[in-house]
Amino acid sequence: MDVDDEDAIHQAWMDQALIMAEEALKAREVPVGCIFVREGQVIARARNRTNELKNATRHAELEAIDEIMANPILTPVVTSQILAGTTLYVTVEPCMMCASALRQVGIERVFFGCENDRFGGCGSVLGVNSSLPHPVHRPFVAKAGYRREEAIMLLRRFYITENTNAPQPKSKATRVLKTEIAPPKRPASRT
Amino acid sequence: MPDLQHLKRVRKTSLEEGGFKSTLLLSLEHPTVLPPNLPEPYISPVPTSPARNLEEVVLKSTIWPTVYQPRRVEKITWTYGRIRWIRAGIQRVVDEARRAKEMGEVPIASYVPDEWETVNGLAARDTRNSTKHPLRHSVMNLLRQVSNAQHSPPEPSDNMTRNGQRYLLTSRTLFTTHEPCIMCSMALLHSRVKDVFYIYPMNQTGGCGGLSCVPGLDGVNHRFSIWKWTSPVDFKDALEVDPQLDA
Ligand SMILES: [Zn+2]
Ligand SMILES: [Zn+2]
Repeated sequence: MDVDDEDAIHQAWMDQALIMAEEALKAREVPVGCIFVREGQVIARARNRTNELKNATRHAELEAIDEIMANPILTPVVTSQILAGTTLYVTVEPCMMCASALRQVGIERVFFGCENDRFGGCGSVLGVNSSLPHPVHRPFVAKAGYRREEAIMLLRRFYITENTNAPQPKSKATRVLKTEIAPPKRPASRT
Repeated sequence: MPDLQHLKRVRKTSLEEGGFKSTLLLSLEHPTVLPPNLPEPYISPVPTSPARNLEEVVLKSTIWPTVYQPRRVEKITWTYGRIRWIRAGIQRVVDEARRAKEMGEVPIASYVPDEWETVNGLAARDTRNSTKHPLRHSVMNLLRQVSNAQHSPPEPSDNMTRNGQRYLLTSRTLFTTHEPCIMCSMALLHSRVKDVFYIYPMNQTGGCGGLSCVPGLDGVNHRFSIWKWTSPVDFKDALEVDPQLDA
């Protein structure tokens, strides 16, 4: 299979992660969504639920991992690499918390949409996925740039309506949804 | 331009022939339409962070005028009362971790005293063995308890729910037996904890100075203080864990 065909497949999976992010936006959560894929099947779908659960750690990735762990068919025996052979598609780069969690459960690889400059754990702030040495957990590959613009636009749509926390909140009427997107600061793919 | 807030918008340079030239800072990410009578914009290097001391003001401002923003150093008064309070917190996590061990768990525990000292606060043990879930670390378990203890439903008018974040541990202190792993350190940062006290460093896996120091990284939007408890009493035998483990 050539690279373009493969990219098309990853983008098609990412479209399903974007549906979860849309759902988060409708629920007034930071719009991040993800799916976990094993042997060509979606085994879990989740979205950010930090507001609903009043817990700042309930990110989409951790929600999905818990769902997989709770399912005896998906997780018959707990080993150190529960998510070996499993691929994550997530609209935004996993934060350092989620990247560490994913490494601790032995995820195979991760595809994400846009970078996370504040908390990114797959290279933006810290390479928790691979450059950070861990004595036990093997590193995983994380590739950026799949449906990046769609992921960014979702975040912008959220912040334009929700961010009234600024010292001088602008009135909603004067806020404009920007549509031009700057290129990534770092090369699009990394391991 | 949230990432350029440490830079002054205008650079004034005096001209040989007298008077000043003002150079305006723009951002590539937020293009601005300029009046037609101005010269073409050009790309200029700028410092990545504010000046932390007066020497940095001079050095950084030669690149671009930079805001002076010294790090806030909090003055701590170590009263007997405060030390007693800390010792009680340490004793609580040690007791909880011992109980965890008796129950076949990894001997790690965390504790957040109550804000107003009126009730016992909340404590949680590591439960990765009994739940067969490798991420059931004491800090994650504790954060879940704290959120469950908040009964009030989120309201749109409530500042705490804005931006999709619940600042669970704002201005609160967490005690834990072992230095939290990267996942737990970042979870504490997401929860806006104020201080973290631990007893045993985890040099190979810890996120509070061991393997990395998560609240000290560039880019993160919250900082918390990290304290290591060194007491003459050694709990090590009872609370020893594999040094390669994520606490
Ligand atoms: Zn996360
Ligand atoms: Zn941990």
